[in-house]
Amino acid sequence: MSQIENKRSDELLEILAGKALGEMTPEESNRLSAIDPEVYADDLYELEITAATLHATYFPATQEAMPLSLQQRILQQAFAWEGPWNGSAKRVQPNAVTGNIPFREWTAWLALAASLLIVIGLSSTRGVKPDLQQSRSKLRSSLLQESPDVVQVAWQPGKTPFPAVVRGDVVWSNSKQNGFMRFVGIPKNDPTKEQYQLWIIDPSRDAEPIDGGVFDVTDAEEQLIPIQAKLQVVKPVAFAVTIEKPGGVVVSDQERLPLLAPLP
Amino acid sequence: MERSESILERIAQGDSLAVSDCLRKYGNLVWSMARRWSSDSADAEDAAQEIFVDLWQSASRYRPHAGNETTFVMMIARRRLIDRLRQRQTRSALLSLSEDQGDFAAPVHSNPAEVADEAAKAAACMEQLTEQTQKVLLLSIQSAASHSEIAKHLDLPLGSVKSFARRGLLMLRDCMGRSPKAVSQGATL
Repeated sequence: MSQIENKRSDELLEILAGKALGEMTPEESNRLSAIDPEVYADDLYELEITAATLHATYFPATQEAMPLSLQQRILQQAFAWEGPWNGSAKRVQPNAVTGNIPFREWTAWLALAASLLIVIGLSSTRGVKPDLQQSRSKLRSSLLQESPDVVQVAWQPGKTPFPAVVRGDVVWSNSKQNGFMRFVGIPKNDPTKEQYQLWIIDPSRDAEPIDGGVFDVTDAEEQLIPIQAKLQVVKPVAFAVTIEKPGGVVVSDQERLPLLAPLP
Repeated sequence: MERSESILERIAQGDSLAVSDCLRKYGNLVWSMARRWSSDSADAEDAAQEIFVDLWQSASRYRPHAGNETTFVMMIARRRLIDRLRQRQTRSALLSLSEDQGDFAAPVHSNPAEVADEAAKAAACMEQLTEQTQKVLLLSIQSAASHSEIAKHLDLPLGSVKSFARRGLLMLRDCMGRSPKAVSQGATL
C-alpha cells in the first residue's frame, strides 16, 4: 500500500472512531456516506464495541427498574411485528420505526392499523372456523397428554360474574409455555366496543399480572382460545378474564372481571 | 432448562421466548442508559423502545467471539442514544459537562462476571494511554460530549481533543486485541 493510501486509510479509521464516539463533522459525515458501508462495517463494529466496553468499565449504569407498563408495551410491539419469532422471515425495515417519526406517533399508527384489522376481520370472518377449532382441540389434547407439568383448572365466577353460568377450564404447561382456555356459554362480545383479555397472576415473577392475550367470542358453541403470554410465566397461581376496551390494556383496573381460575 | 446459545442468537433463530428473556435481562440496563441520556421520561421511553427494536433487528449480527452480549447491548443502546441526541441538537442542554466531570474516573469493579474480563482488559489498556488522552476519551464516552465542549471544559485546543479522543479509541481497540479489518488492511476514503 502506498503512503497516500496509508494516509487515507488512517483518515478513514479516525473518522470511524469519531462516529463510534458520536462526533463527526458534516464534512466527515459526507465523506463517509460516499463509501459503501460494507467496506468499513467491521472496523466500525470493533470501535463501537470498544467504546461500549469502556462505557461498561467506567460508567456502568445504575440499574433502574424499567416501568412495567413500558415492558409490556415493548413486548406488545415485538409480537405485533413480523419478526423471526412470529414465523416469518420478513423483517421490520429499520426506517419504518427508526426514522424521524417519534415512536409514540408510530405506536399510534400501529394501534390504528390493529383496530382496522379487527374491523376487517369482523366483516370477513364471523366466528372461528370449525377446522381451526379442531386443530386447537388436538393441540389442547396433546398438551394434556404429553406435558407432565400441565395444569387444568376450572373457571369460577369472578368478582363481576356473568348473569349465566359459564363452564370451561384453563389448560397450561409451564415447560412448554403454552396453553388454552375453553369456554362454554361465555357471552359474545362486540370487538369494536370491548374485548376479553386474559391475565396470568404470577407473584413469583411480578406483582403485576402477565398479559395473556386479547380475544373475542363470536360463537355460542364451545370456544377454545390459545393463551398468548407476553412474558415468561414462572409459577402461576391464577388465571383471570377481564373485559377491556378494544385492543386490550397494559394494566387492567379489573373493574369487569367475570371469570377466575385459581390453582389449588 | 439450560441454554447454550445467547439470548440474541435465540432471537435471530426465531425463539419467541428469547424476546421476553431479552427484555427481562437487559430492560433495566437499557432503561437506565435511556434515562441518563434523555431529556425526560417520555423521551426515555421512546428511546428504550427504539433500542429494543434495534436489538431485535441486529440480533443476527451479534458475534459471541467478538465480545459479550451485555457489551453488544450497550453498543446498540449507545448508537441509538447518540443518534437521538444528534438529531435533536439538544446535547448541550441535556448533557452539559459538570464541574466534576473530567476528573479521573476509576474502573468500576461491580461489573457482571461476563463483563469483568473485558473490563479488566480495558482498564489495563487505558493505563497505557497518556493522562490527557484518558481524560478526553472518558468524557466523550460518558456523555457523548462534543469535542468542542470537551475542549472548552479542559481548556485544550479543539484539534488536540479530536486527536486524543479518536486515536485513543483506536489504540484501545488495538490493545484489546480486536482484530484489524478491511479499513485497517487498506480500504481508503
